[in-house]
Amino acid sequence: MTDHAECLLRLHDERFELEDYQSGVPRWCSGCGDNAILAAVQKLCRDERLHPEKTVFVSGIGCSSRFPHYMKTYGFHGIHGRALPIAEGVRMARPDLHVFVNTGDGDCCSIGAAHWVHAVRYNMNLTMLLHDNEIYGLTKKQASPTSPRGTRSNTTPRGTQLEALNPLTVTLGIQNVSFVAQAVDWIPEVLYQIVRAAFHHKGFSFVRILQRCPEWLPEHFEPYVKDPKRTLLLHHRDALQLSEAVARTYSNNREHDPSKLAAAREMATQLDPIPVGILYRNPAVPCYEDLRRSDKLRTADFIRAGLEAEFDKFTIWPCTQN
Amino acid sequence: MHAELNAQLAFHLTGARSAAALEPIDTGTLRPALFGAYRDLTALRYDFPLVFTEKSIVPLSHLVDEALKQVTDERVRVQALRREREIRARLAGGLGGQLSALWDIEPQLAADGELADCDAALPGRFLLQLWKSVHEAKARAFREDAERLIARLSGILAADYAHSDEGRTPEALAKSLAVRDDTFDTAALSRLLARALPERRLAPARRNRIRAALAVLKSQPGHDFVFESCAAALRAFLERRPALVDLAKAMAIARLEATGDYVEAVHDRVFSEFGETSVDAELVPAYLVRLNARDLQAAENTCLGELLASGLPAKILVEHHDILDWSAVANAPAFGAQARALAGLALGANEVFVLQSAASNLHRLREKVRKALEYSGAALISVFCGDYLSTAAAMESRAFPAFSYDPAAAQGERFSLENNPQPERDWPLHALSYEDAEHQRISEETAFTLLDFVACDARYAEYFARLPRGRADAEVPSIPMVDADNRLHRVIVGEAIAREARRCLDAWRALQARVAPKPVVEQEPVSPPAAPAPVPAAPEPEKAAPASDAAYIETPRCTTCEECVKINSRMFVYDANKQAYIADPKAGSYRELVEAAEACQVSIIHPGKALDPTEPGLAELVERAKPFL
Repeated sequence: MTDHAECLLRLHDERFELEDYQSGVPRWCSGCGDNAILAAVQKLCRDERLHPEKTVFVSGIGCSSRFPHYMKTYGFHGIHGRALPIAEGVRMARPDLHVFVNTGDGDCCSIGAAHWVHAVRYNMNLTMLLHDNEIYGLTKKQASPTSPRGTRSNTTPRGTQLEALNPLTVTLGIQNVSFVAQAVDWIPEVLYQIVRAAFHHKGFSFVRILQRCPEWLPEHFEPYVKDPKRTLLLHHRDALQLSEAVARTYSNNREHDPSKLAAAREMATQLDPIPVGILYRNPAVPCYEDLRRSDKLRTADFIRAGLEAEFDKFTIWPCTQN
Repeated sequence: MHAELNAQLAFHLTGARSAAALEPIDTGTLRPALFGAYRDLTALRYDFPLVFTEKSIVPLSHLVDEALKQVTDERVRVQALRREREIRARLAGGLGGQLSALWDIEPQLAADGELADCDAALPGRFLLQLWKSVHEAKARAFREDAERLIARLSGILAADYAHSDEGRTPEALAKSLAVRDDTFDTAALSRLLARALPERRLAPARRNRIRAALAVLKSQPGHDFVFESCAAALRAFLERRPALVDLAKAMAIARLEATGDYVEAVHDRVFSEFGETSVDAELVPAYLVRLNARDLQAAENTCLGELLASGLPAKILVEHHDILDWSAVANAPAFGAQARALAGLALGANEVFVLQSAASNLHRLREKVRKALEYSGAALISVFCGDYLSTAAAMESRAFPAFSYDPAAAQGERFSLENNPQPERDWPLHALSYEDAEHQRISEETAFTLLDFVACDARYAEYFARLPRGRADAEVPSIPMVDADNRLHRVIVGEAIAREARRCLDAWRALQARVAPKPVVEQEPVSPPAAPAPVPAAPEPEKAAPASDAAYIETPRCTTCEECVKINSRMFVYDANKQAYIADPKAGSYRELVEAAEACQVSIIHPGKALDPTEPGLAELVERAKPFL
């Protein structure tokens, strides 16, 4: 199509507003970080002009996993820990859809841990948002794998005994990792930039979003919210570029090259200040669906021929000669 | 001495051979001195013969070298090289053949194909092979695309049929269920479906549109794309154009329908105005036209000009078999005039990919040739055909230099003189070593000029005269030549040829001028390492805007947490980005402002000064508001 004709066709491009992606009123507590993530994702959909019928949000169980209900797109609220395999199935069956995964620290790092490990290795092109509030929220305050040591909860009245799992180091340790980022829900501009970068990355984008739970852990992130110095913003020419306003407020920032895996792994071990930004990005890792894509057209005849060939393996041919 | 010089001058200016000492040259035995080493080409290893394999065109010597990389046995190596020499001699003798038939010894060669030496037919063959591979790749890509679209559209129509009443008759249902017995009562099923699921058909306009597009996509005839004249190519293109426009239109419609993006209100109008200008260059197949320079008459020349100016992807190969033209009008030589005129015409069109080369250089230029064939517009490929030595001499002497003009490249990188020997010089200089009368070794830098090239051609022998041996230098233009016994002679040249040499040099200099000079690379100033984002001098809390009296929210930092909008949804409102701002400070009390400021997770609400001094509990509220000012 020549430019002239393309322009004519684009006259009718649809534009969506934030409200077009909003479905219902979120039932999250007021002050819940999930609201911020919802706003950022809706902004992304609007700015990228994503067609609602071409976008899917897949979730497991938890407060985080209420997400698909509040997005006016296709969605799949799956069972506990199984958001990733469902999302991977969607990618293989419908490679034309934009797939997002919303999961929480319990859903992903506890019951869903096995799927998480393999999803990183498959490196399918989807965007995974880990809503990490470091507690089991929906079930009313039990310790999760990412709860810091000493967290008192209904299942750990004397405080947890183990150091928290670090989802960043785990993901960076898996073969084929291609995109790892950490965000915090109280810096909306940076959250949006990270989610957008994750969306544009071709491969499995792992974004861990530290999220406040005002109901069960109201004081937990206060020190970090109040003191900008305890957040370390990572910027780079190939990663986040900070606006002046953000750079002024969050003066603790550093250049971090997302192409260096060793540096990313080291950065991931840092807990205080919290590193926020794109830790690692490698666009060269192949995606599983591309490796498996066949160029052959799946016409009815093609499928029929394939089935016949399979059935013939079990056919007993009459013996024609001795 | 003086008389001799006069005699030489007389010959140079008038062509008269006054002295018996000025003998004509015998081009059969006398050749330019720099050719001394090239008497027997079969003894040398160079690009030819070429092997035309299925995938590519590769020199025989490359194949042999590749194979010999693994070989350590000296005997095998010697045998292989000898066989290569034999094959080369065989081809030089005019015989051809398949490589596998002629190479039946160790080591195994990686590819097989027909052998071709550098002769008059080679450029045509070379071009045709390359063109075929480019053309086939394009055709294959188009076919795959079309088949994909056909599958999708057929699928849509099949789904439509399945939802229709005709598709749900008992017979149709029986077929789709593929049962051979009466497990299913298809009559009952058909009735049930008709009642419960009334038919849902596509709008007739849409169905017809899809059917029409499908019909066009399925019925693509095969065409021939190789022509022997520009007129024929132009005619064929004009004949096939309406069908091409229909095809492009059908493909565009099919693409939109396949994804369900066709909107009649907009697209119907677009497609009703769909014409030749809307056709994508990718869809237009390239036409190959093979011309012989000798046959370029006036009418054909005009057609050529039209074809070049039209922007169509016509790839025109012009074969020159003789570049030592003679101008009837001037009654004098006009060497290379036709080639220059053609190149000028094509370069003048500015959007034409122009490639000029001698046949000897064709293999080196194969990437450029491929680029020319893949280029989306017209291409003119002008080749001097002949045996290796003459064509190489033509290039060496600047009589037929190689150049390329790629309109698709960036400005400044379009024109290239690569592959020409010593392109920065007027004439290429080579060291000529010989033994003088005192048996001393002398080495001179000798230029290979047009004069040397013309000296090889018997038709112009009368313009040359050999000086008697012993005359070491002459004030008249001359060239060194060697005879059959490798003895050096000095040969003077007539004015007419010398004039042509000057012309040739002018044309060469004009080509040199077209090459954009390389920009002078400034030493890059050492840039300071990328400084991190500005860090304020002292770690003090951010100095907010001067404490204003009005209440405000730092909206860009809002995390959409709902706290404030839950308190008062008329005072605190979300903007288009779902971030809060104070829509109406009078819509709520100062208490609400302060409570919101306290509840705000990121402390970005600034209550300012109370608007109503009579609000109850103001003192306490002002105290609470202090940290947020």
